[in-house]
Amino acid sequence: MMMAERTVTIRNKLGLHARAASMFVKEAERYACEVEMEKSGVRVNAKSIMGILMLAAPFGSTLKLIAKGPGEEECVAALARLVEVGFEEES
Amino acid sequence: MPSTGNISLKRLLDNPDLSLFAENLDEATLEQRELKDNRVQVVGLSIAGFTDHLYRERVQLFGKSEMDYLNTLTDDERRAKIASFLERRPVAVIFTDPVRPTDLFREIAGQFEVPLLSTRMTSSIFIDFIKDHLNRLLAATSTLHAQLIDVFGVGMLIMGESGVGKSETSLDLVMRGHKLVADDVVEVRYIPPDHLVGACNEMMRDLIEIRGIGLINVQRMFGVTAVGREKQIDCVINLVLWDQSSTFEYERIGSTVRYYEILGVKRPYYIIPVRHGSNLSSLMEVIARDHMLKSQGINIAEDFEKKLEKKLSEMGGK
Repeated sequence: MMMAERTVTIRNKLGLHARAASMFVKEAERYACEVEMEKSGVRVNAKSIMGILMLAAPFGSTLKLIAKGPGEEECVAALARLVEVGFEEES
Repeated sequence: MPSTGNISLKRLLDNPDLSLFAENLDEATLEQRELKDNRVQVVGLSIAGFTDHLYRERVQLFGKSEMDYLNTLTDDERRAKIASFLERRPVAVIFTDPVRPTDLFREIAGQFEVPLLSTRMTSSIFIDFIKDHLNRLLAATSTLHAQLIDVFGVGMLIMGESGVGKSETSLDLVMRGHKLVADDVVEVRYIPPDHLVGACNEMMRDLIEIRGIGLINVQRMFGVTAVGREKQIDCVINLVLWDQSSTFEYERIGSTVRYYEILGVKRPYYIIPVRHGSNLSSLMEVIARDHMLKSQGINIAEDFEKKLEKKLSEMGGK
């Protein structure tokens, strides 16, 4: 089955905090594909704010993004970019 | 059986309920020793030299009968029997009260690097504790994107794509007096032989996210009876947006039961079409009530079909 995958590292000092998580979910919801985020073997729906917050990903942690369905490549690329620019925070 | 994770032997020592202590290895070494199997084995005949059924990946329980047996032997025989048991290198041997490893046992265990532990509990009590503990620690787990609600005591796992109204349904159910266990992220663990227990991640406990409002603390807002810590999963519901063009056949009579599989365990599965204005919490309550009737052996669809068939055959005869 087709699938888009990307591993990203949290670059902003505060980690994946509440505001960053909600930015992330908003971005994920723009795509029709299914998208999941995985940290240390735990996988959650990347469109779920509860899921993303639960992962409690700190600065420097690595996350895997997995998307499946229409627009999967664009979705993973956009989400990876968001993480990699540190959620547009000054760090 | 679903695949399980690993734990270190040290994790067993960390549980005060097991009253365990290490006999021959330090904690750092026990940290390195991995345990995979949730089953335990009583040493029994293995100490008499019959080791065909010794599963080295299972914790071995050594009690009074094994020790009394060794005491009937000559020194040479005893050394040989212990060696033939320990050379199989079981993952760990636990001595149950009042038995403790002898110097000879420690010496041979050192030679084969077998960890020896002792418990302050007698074997009959300890065996229940350790089984329960290993089942919990080594349970196969899975994280699901769903709600877990206790509706009239029935554990309902509610799934459905983002935006279909899962959280709102949960909130509505809470307001009708049911209990929220987890919103959006359910941590499920498999407990042999066929139990599935769902719980909330500790970080997200008591919280529910409602679009347009944000996070709500259900316990603070509705009280301590509005939440549950964990709940057995009894049935699975999938909410799908009603689509006129879809060829999917929703259940109309209720005589065919679908099942949804989680960690190798099947649960009754209901696919519910959602339309704007659907009263989902009422539907969930009805599913819970139907589940309770079915578990008492009362099947409305089956009863009706029998009645209809009888009527049809009577009429057909005329």
